[in-house]
Amino acid sequence: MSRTVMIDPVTRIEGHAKISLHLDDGGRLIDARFHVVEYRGFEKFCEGHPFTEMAGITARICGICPVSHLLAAAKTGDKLLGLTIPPAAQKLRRLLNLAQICQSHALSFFHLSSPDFLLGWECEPARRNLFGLMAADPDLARAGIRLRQFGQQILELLGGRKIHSAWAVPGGVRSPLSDDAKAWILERLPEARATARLALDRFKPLLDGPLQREQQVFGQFPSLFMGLVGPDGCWDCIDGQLRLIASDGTVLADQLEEDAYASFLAEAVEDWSYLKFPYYKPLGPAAGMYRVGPLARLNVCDRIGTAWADAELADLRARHGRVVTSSFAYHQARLVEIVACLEAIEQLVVDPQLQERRVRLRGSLQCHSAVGVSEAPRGTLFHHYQVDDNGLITRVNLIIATGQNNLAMNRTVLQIAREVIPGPVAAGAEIPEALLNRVEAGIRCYDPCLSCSTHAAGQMPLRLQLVAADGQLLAERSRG
Amino acid sequence: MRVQRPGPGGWTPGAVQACLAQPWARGPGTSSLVIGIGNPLRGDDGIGWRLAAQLPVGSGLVVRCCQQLTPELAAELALVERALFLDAWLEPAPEHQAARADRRLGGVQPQSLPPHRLQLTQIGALGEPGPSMPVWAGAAPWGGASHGLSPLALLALSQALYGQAPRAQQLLLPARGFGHGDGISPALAGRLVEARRLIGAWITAGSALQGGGRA
Repeated sequence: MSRTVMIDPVTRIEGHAKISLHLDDGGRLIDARFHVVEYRGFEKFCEGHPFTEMAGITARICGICPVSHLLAAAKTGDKLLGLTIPPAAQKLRRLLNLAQICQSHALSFFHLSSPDFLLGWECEPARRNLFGLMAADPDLARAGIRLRQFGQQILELLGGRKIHSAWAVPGGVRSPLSDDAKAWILERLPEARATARLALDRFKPLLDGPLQREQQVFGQFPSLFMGLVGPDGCWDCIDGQLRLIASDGTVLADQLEEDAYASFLAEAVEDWSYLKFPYYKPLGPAAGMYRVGPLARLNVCDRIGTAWADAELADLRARHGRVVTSSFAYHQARLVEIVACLEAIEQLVVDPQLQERRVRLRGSLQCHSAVGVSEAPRGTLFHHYQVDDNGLITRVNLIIATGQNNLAMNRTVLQIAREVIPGPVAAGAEIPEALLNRVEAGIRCYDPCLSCSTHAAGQMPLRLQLVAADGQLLAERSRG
Repeated sequence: MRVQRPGPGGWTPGAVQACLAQPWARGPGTSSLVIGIGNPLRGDDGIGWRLAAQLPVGSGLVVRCCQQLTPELAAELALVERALFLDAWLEPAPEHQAARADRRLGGVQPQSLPPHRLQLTQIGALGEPGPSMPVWAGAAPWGGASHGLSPLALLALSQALYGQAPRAQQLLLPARGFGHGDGISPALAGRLVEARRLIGAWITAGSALQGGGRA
């Protein structure tokens, strides 16, 4: 008789989800399912709107990474208008995305995940949170706030507001970098760098010590990785082309055109989740599982291109190998990317081109279908719009980072569950708290944002159920 | 007292820690912060955002609009004397009010549930931070909603990290429609005059507000 363990829902991720663990007749774990159980249907909602409104609409899908949608929508709009935007606008969009990645990673690393690292998996959930972090290491809590403020303030300086700015538009951006904004960024950069250094200095000893086991069992498996790289193979977050690599380092595809995404990506659907299951089409759903996001971006790139970030990338690779296959390393990858963003911002902000007045082109509709791609903090983001002769949306497809990590998240949950429960689960057995804690933490490696991927709006106390194959509830554990 | 920022090359670990302990300064004269919460593309859910976005900034008032409360707002709270949170309230059936209130406020019961007549309510008093789990530990800091904090948790964060938090109130507006769209339900629309009056009174009242000084 096979059974199922349910964890419902998962805390400290965005949206609404539950997890079920499926047992075979012998009580052994055979499958894990990360369910997304709410549907909000933004793709349908967009139909009938002018494509020029897409940036404003899709940016409101989520308050955590609106810039990513803004940029993908603007890039898609560029293509529909047949425009190559001014170089100044390209650089300004890059600056916006760098700031966005920096602030988003700060929230994920410092405030969502650090409590797990510092307080330990056995710490009761009431303490293993931001307030527990505050008590254990207030400097780290403050550092996260400061880095997030730094990134958000740049967003506000560029776009006029911290979230949901309509600054990036089809054809470019609305305004250049002001003198005041440039001065503010330059003044604050040294502190931001010092803060990032503080975080790295706190985190690496944990990797060398109490977190060694987690690196082995939190999503440690081969998969493909996908992300943007520049023409020279360097790390990129907005203007590059797609590269896919295997876990042995083999480059499966390079400089892929996003317009042809349907030829290399497919989206499987399961009846137990609103979150789709994208995979690399040529290899099929099983072998075609791929990961996106900070770890994937660092895996696919040859180098980052700035000194400190490349040194941190070398440290990451020295710990794990050229291609890092442990999803626990997403956390370190976020810190590396924060460094990369700070260095790139430092280089960009002094570029006089950012203050040129010519930052936007205007045009008319040139085609009826286009795809725009940017790297969101959580991974590669695709916007595909089809429009009619009047530029009204007839179809939208959004492929979101969290969805692309869906297969890997399920695999991660199963791996962690097998680590916590290595043998058969006896009928009537208690569900260990450790299982809840670690499975949650495994999911958080990916920092999933279900608001984007399905647009869920969830409240998330935690429930875990052990269910037999015939649907009988064998055991249950809940919190919240 | 503000910590002097180091010059180039002066960012020693001690200097970093000293700077981090102080929130970034705001312009002189800023004393009030209004935070509007919600998604303006989800009907009534965005009413807090909408009301906040319509407020005139300046004259000592800073306005923030957000979909959820995130930790960096603690640093902004530490810089003001007063704060007002505006949010939608999922108006439940009477028999479910207590349970839903508990979830929305992150496990902390408000002093009173939002009444049929709108009013500003004080956000609970905070204890002194300490090395052991502080009094707000039960406040479910993520409000059960992942990336977002509850107002009480955010105030607690401000107090703990920066040694100060403003006296804070909230205005919760009864919401019913959460579908896609930027309109609001007729029932909620009927409360807006009253809501704006309360917010306006809060802004102009300034120091006349009761409820004590900093927590």
